[in-house]
Amino acid sequence: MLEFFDCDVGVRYSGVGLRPAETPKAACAILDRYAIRQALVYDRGATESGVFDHFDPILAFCKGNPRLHPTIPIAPPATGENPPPDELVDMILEYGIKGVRVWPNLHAFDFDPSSFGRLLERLEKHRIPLFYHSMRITDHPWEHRLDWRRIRETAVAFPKLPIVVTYMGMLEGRRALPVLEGCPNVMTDLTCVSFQYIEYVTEQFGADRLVLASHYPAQDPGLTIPWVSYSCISGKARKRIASGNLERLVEGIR
Amino acid sequence: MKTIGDAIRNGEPIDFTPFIDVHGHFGPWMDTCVPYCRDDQRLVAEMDRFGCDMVWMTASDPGYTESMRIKNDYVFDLAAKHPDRVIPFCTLSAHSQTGCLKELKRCLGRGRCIGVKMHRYNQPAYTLKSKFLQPVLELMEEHRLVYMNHDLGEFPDIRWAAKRYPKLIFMGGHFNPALNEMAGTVPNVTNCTCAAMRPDAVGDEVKRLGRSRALLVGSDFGLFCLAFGVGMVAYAAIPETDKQNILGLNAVRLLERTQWFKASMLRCTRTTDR
Repeated sequence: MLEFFDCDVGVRYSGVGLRPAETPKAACAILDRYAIRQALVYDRGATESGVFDHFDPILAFCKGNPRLHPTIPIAPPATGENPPPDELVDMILEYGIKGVRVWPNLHAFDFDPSSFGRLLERLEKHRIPLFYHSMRITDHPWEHRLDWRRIRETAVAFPKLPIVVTYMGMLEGRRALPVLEGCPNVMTDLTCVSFQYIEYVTEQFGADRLVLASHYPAQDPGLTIPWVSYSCISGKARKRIASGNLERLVEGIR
Repeated sequence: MKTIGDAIRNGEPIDFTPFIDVHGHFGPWMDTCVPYCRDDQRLVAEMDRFGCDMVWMTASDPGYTESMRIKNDYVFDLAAKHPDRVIPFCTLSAHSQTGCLKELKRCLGRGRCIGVKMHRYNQPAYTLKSKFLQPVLELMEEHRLVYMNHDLGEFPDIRWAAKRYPKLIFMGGHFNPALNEMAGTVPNVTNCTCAAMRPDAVGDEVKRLGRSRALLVGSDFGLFCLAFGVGMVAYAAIPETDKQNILGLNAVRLLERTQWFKASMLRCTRTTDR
């Protein structure tokens, strides 16, 4: 049985009717149900609220639990909403934070080198993964659009920065695949659920370009997890997508 | 006893109970790239890996690109190559209202056909009471077919049509709790699970209504991966019998209304007791 590493689990509270796990024990029970061994988690309520400078709750949530790894949201450094870039990166390294998240549509900013350059330079230096979320609070996965041009521009400007596009969209194939082809540091999740997407990306660009993002509590992890298990690729490639690629990213932080 | 959840967790074929996905699409797509979307071998190979006996297949971009005839021929040609695995819907378009009856007759003449599928978007507005649809529904009633719509429309219209065409099965193409409620009192109304994306949405629905006989699994297979439908059923917190109903037994009950269905058509399900 494959075991999974999930890069997108929201925890604690939500104000939009979602039911995230409020305790680490509850979070692990959910992960167990889907054979998810580890997860990169974020504070759902703080993200909904646009809180960029108060990480104690998510750090406390994950503390001492080897299955739950904290991640934090970032905003353009010019806003002063995050700690200054050097301080923020020091904090990430000190507290074992395993990634940062940008939500350009939810938090109303442009994700590009011009807005984030000072911070991205430092994240790139330490190979801290960046997770790009295109959704607003209640978007439907069919209807949202990603700003692939800015993703490409940023990936090219910071070629060692791992950028993981989550909520990659169900109708985005003609925009997403050229970015995967042109930017080796860009990976996507499986939210598109497109027929044969796993097989095609693995054949064309390699299995190390895909990761699992369940989007719990917004979505059921069962929508995508079986897709990996049944995909028509090698067992080794399946294992990379299920967990190996995220393990590599997390272990690559330096 | 092996369960649907066991099989899914282990990536093994569900070959011990019927698995029929009632909502698939086949053909090219206007507004997105779907890799290998016209590769029938990959399509059937994916069904084999999951142990999916059969898919009820509609056209891609249903009702709003190309001619109805060409779009239906993609699907009926596919069904001709894989006759027990792919059962076609005839896809109709409100853009070609005067041609709908003729196109349905043409499709019925090509062989097995489970019914008619229609969509709403990118085409003129219509309802189940629209004049052009009545001869279509009458013919479908005669053949005891399934009328699936992306959105069946206003509930008074659905009730009206279900009463006027009692032998016809009306199926909502996408998960709709209000429609599921109606299915409790209107026996020929059903609903597809397609895109019930919230955590355990299918399980919550079965628990809320206390029944599973009007829900049928669908994934938009061909546009999407097969996992997108079966996963939400396999992990649902409901009894195994409810999962079996949703995954295939409810569809078998509809197939048994046709003149052409035989249990031996369920190619992945072990048939020692059939």
